[in-house]
Amino acid sequence: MISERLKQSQEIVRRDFYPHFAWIENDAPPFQLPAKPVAQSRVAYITSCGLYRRDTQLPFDAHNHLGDPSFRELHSDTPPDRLAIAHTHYRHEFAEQDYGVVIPFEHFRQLEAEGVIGEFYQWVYSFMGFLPEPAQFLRETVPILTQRLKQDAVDAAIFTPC
Amino acid sequence: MTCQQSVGLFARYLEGNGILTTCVLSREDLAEAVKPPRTLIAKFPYGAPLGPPGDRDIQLGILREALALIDTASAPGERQPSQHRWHT
Repeated sequence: MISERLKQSQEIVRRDFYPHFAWIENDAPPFQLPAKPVAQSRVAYITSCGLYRRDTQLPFDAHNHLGDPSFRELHSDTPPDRLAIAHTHYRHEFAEQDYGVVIPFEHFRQLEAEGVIGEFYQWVYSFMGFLPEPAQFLRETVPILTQRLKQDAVDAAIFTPC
Repeated sequence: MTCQQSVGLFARYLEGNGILTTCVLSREDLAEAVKPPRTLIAKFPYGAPLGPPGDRDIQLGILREALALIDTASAPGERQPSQHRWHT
């Protein structure tokens, strides 16, 4: 059952962006027990905060009322000053002060050096999470990225929204 | 807020394909609706999912908690509150 607060936000999204919007209510999720500890795992980081490389990539279509289902790949060596945000549904002031709040490249390198994780996967996948109609994203982008992650023997992934 | 739904949906698909996932979300009610495989609830403002800017200890702490859930969660949909709090 969705909360009263979610019902209110659902009405706002319907009024302002997409009249057919509805929160998705799922049954129990898929669930795997780990075959090996995180300390021996290749770990990916995936974020919906709309980050892209300002020098080599086009921004997301942040003003589209249905969202933008595409993705950007960011190498873990990307200098923070090459990053930008195309996402009009959150305030960028925190990320602009410190990109570590949304894309923690250095943090993962530290965790790898400490042995908390086995290895930090070299690609961060970024998308723009405002997707009131997520069907195309789920049909196209998610399977493509899942295939890449499987081919590259990624064991685990941490997700952050904005 | 649809950001939180979007990552939860992606995580469910990835987990169903054999890659273990933790979502770091700020909204417990969205976690309850979307039901990601594992969720760390960190009640931070939108735009700062890993914590306050400039506070690397908290940002690292959130990642440590999220990674630990991969090792320790024993049931589908497990949700754990973060020990870290927002400050300015």
